[in-house]
Amino acid sequence: MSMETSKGEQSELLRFLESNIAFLAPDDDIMRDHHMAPRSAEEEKVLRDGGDPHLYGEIRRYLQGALDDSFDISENMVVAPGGRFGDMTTALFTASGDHAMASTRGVIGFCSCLHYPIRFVRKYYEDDPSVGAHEGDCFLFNDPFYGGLHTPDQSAFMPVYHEGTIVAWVCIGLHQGEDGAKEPGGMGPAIESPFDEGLKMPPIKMAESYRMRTDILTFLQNSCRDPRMQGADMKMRLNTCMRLEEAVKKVIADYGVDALIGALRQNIEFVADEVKRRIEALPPARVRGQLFLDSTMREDALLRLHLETYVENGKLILDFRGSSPQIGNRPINAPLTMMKVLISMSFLCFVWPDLPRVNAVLEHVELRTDPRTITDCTRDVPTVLSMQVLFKGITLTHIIAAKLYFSARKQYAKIIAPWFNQTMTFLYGGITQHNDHTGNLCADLNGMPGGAHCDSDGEHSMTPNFAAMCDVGESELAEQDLPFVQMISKIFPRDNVGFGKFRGGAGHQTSVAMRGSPLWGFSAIAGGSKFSSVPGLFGGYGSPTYPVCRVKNINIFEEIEKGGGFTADIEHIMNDQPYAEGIYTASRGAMPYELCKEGELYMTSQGAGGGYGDVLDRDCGLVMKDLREGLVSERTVQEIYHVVYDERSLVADPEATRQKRNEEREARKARGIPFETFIKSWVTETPPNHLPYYGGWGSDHGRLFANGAEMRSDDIGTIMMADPRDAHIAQLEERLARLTHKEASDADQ
Amino acid sequence: MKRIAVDIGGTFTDCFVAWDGRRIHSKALTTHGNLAFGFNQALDIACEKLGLGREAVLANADSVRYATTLGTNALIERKGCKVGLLITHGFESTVPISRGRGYGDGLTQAEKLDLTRAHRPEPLVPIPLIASIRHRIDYLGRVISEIDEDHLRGQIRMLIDRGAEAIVVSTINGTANPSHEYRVREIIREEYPSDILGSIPVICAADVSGRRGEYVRTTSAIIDGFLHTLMYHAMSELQSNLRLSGYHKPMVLVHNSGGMAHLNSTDALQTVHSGPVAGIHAAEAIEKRGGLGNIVAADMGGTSFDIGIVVGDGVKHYDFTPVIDRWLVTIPMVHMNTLGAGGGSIARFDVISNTVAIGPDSAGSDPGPACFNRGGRYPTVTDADLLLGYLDEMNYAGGSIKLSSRRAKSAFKSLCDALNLDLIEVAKLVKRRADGNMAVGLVSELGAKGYNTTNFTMLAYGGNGPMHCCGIAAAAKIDRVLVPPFSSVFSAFGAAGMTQLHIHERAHLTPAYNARARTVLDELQPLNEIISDLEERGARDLLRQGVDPVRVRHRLELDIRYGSQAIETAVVLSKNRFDSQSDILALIAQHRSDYERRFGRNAPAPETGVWITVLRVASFVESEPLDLSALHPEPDQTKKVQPVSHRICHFPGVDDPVETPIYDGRALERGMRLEGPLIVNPGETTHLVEPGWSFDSIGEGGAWITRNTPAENS
Repeated sequence: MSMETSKGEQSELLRFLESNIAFLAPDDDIMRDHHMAPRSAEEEKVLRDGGDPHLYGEIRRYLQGALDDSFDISENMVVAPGGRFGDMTTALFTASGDHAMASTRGVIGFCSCLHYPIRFVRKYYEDDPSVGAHEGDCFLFNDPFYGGLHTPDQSAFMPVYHEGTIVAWVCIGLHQGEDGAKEPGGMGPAIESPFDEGLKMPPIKMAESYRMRTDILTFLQNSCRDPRMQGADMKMRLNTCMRLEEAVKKVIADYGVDALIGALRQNIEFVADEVKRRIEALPPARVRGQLFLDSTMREDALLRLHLETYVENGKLILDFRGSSPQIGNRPINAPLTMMKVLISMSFLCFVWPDLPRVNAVLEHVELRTDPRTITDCTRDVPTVLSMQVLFKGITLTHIIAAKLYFSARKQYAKIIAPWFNQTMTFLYGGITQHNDHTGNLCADLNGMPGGAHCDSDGEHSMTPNFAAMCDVGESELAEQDLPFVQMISKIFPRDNVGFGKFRGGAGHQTSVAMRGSPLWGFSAIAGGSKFSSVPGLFGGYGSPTYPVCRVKNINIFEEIEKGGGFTADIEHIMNDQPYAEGIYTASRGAMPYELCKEGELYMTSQGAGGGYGDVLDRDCGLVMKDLREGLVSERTVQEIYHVVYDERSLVADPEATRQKRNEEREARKARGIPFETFIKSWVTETPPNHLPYYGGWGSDHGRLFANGAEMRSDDIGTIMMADPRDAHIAQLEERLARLTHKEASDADQ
Repeated sequence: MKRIAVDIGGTFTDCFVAWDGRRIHSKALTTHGNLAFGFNQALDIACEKLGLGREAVLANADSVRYATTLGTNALIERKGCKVGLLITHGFESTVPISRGRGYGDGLTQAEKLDLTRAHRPEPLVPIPLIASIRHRIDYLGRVISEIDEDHLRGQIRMLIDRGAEAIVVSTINGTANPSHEYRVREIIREEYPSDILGSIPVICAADVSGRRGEYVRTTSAIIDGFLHTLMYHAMSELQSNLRLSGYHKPMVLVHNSGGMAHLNSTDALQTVHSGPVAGIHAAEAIEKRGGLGNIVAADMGGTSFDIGIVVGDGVKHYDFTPVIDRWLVTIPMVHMNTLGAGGGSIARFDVISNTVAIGPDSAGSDPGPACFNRGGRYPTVTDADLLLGYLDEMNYAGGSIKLSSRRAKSAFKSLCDALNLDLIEVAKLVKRRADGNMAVGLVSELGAKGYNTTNFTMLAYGGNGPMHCCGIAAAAKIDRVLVPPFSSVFSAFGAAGMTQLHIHERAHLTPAYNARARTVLDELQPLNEIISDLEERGARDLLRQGVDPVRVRHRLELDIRYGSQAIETAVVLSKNRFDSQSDILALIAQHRSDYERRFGRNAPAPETGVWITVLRVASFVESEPLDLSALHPEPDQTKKVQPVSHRICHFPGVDDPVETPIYDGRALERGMRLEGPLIVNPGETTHLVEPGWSFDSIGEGGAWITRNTPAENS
């Protein structure tokens, strides 16, 4: 029997429920909403008649200067290696928590998700007398389910008050790295549970009245491997927020609070309006694409990331359904918030780089995802390497936008092939030569090469695909602080470019060997060792694949002293194996942390940017220039580019090349088969049994595959992977059993 | 005092002569084919004013000093020699990769952000001219692997065969132990001895910079090598010209470190930006001799706005890793921030923000602003200045350029349509935004160094500085502007006051405070030994130039950082040796105080460790300074002057047009006071005094321009 409840009873019920919450878990109302808040009463008052755009422009110019200065100063003051090379951002938010402005440099993604924790604080803490929000308070957080990217990023934000009311928020986002996770540096393939991820902070008040809270500081320092770095960088964050707060207050003093409110809000609205116009002008096309993660970080697997894009009712729809289910004990899952971050990053880097860097770029964008997939995972799975989805997602969005814009009347960016998208470097942890405990990453992970342009070659290792002007470090500075020698710092290997009419940029090799530490180890977190990470565009080639290579059981410094020499070339070291006692291994780019001995070699290579257009259209003079610069091999010149040249002078013969290329074009036609024949031979109902395949198959996104089983996308169960060591033991035991059986059989005979 | 100072710029060669109490300035067009012609012409004009012949002046001159943009221009135009690079094996792609950020260094923010159009500049050393040295040194300078000399000889021959005209040698950790670089140089000399025609310059990177950072150090050496031959020949021509005219003393070149040295003690890289740096040196001299306190130097030209800071407390602002053209290098260069803003900056409609935006595109000098009538079609800041009545159509730049207001109006039409405002309103908006942008740059620059505009005097010079100074100062909340004497040849004026100076540095990582062990440095001998060595090197440089040893002075500076922070702050010490731990504690305290002032009360982090990273010694000789004591004349009410004409002008913040008096600058005597609005045209530049500001002439083309009602400043 149902009973009707009166309004008073309803209210009482609500009060009871709201006052008896055991845990302030992430709030879906906040976390699944990326749109800007409606105009507040103050914003409406200021902007009702359009405000004063000229004055607001002047104010934003000043605030932009303040954000850029704060960024530069923070970059200099920060200790975390990622931050020192640009892996951070400073930003301003409106009182409601809408992202209003960001520093010119840095990783926009840090502030594309900061509205979530600000709104959380406003909703849950501001009126809670045990926490509250006051002038001089500064909050810190890192948990992705409260709005972070992944746990190694720690962001801080501070309210700006005017006459007792919050009028804005100032923020700094930063890749901190070490956070007490299972693996040094805050992330690694061996993280199998959210509870292996180290610190997991919802917004916490790290400072009150502009003073750091010693209890919180000490707790956080005590929870990670590098307490001094944690402390110094928290201090830096507080200082940055205070500096930005001062700038905002100066605007209020000079122009009045209304002008500040108008300047911030109008920036968001202008961007949203402009994005709407741009979406409406897109060609009426539906573009699909897919990329694959080639490992879970512990085992080989093909995890599908699928995207279909179109415009519907004035909204740009990004439909990620058909992507891989989440993996319960692997760290590559991404929350929905991460998908939104990747879209803003991709659009602001590669599609609309002229727009002010604010989150309103997503105002007229809608995402469609299936919960419990790697594009919209749940809180009970690890996410620390969710950037594997992020990197691939940026590439996928970029490719789709390139196709959409190829024939568009107005382009806001140049059409280029995909940027490389993996962090091909080493993370480290241990005790330095100065006796300090540390754990973090080498900054040359930023050196991802650019994709080929529609009219020129791509740039060699430069900046990651998620930010402009991130830097690649100097080896001398790394070596003076850390106990390793960069045996190879930067050398381009041959054929590490995406071939095409215009080639992608080359990535460099790198090799480190520990020297002078009592305890040291390395790990790696890259994908793309078995399946190319980056495709080409419009006929261009993708990047090659890259393993982590190791030479164990040697001390390279002793080998050199013995006269063994050292040739800085991974290809030579691994193929010719010049050190007799060495144990040479090439493994997946994701390598759990392992201790090393002095002088053991760890080697990897940055990947290549994608190529653009058909290799047979490449100017043969450019091909020969690549050969002279050591970027391509003779075999590539002859068999990929089909260039005829004089081997002594390295000068191409254009006429003979034209003829050879025409022959190849004819050969291509001869190798071709009718499309329908191809489809018949290629398309299958389900993924092949031998393939460790995860995700949708074909166009029916309701049907997903994982661990060899089929499931409905609205009924994805818990998918766990076996421990690779257990799997290996099982293989050995099976082999042992076989051998034992054979032995017994042989004995019987 | 009998000094001649010359600043050879891209367009004009400026000359300043201090001659027994007289101060003369002159200008002539730069003659790029042979710089001596322009120099002679400028000097002849000055000599004529002095009433002396050129030979007589040169025969009796104490010194001839050059500041030149020759190196800067050659770099921009890529007119250097073919440089080969020998670098530690394993690092061959370091220079082509260029630190990642290399694609954006020297570009505008919008260009930096657009990855889809990102391209690195054409390399100064193409990949085929990079060869390797098989060897290795660790961060402490210990040899891991000796040089494979047979391999090296082959690499050297390969570079020469490929046409290298200069070779740069750069070894990893070469600052900790440069012996391998020197051995490589020996081997090159063995293979190509200096007495044969194939001999080429060899530059060791560790000699160019003593700082860690293999990319920036190598690039510094490459630029040095790239410019070496060209600069050598150009400077030799000038020196020969001086000798022919009767000047037999060594020529002195202005360095971007803020000092100067003889030609034989100058690296090519040290001359880059020496002209603007000489301007900042003049600001420093004005601060010191004129007792002005803090100064922000604002040099606004046609395409750029250079900002420099001079503070009364003696803190020196250097850039240790400046960007030169498109290249990040490491040399101690006087700090100067250059914004892409000037009279040629183009105004456009910002469709996203529904307002006007200025720059970063510039019409430059060719075609120049639309009103130059040389084909420029876009509205610029100078066009707005003309439309607002500030410029005389017939008398711009001393009458050398006739302006066309018709062209300016035409260029503004589409902007007016987009903004739906009339011409004058748009021109006012352009001026206000341009001034505001430069003010933001100026405030940011001060903020980044830990200052605000309170108690700062703005020094306004350059072609457009005195015209926009009121607008910029008002937006930056600065109350006092000094248009210095000789503002139109201010860099030459600065060069005339410089002293001989050499800077030597050594990277030396040692903990002043070891936070883990909780110990303060007590091993002081190694530091003192390095300081002695650096002083000896500096003294050697000066003695080589004939300086009397008793006049040599040294200034010790240490770069200090907290923990592993990237930022290193220079601390200038009052003594040149460390005698006890108390000296180290004093160093730590001084660093803390500087750091706190710059970054805020909560910023210092000594608990993470305090590291000494670089020791630096500036060795110099004091020379007689220019007399700058007469910057504060008593107002003289008895002196009157009449305007030569009136013009209708429009000012931001003033609704109605204002009939504005125009004064001939040559008629303004020291001590005269005038109330704005007014325009002064001393010949080469225009001084605009906006409503609410007053003008006090100090003579020699200089003036104080002060706000009548001081701004409220925080």
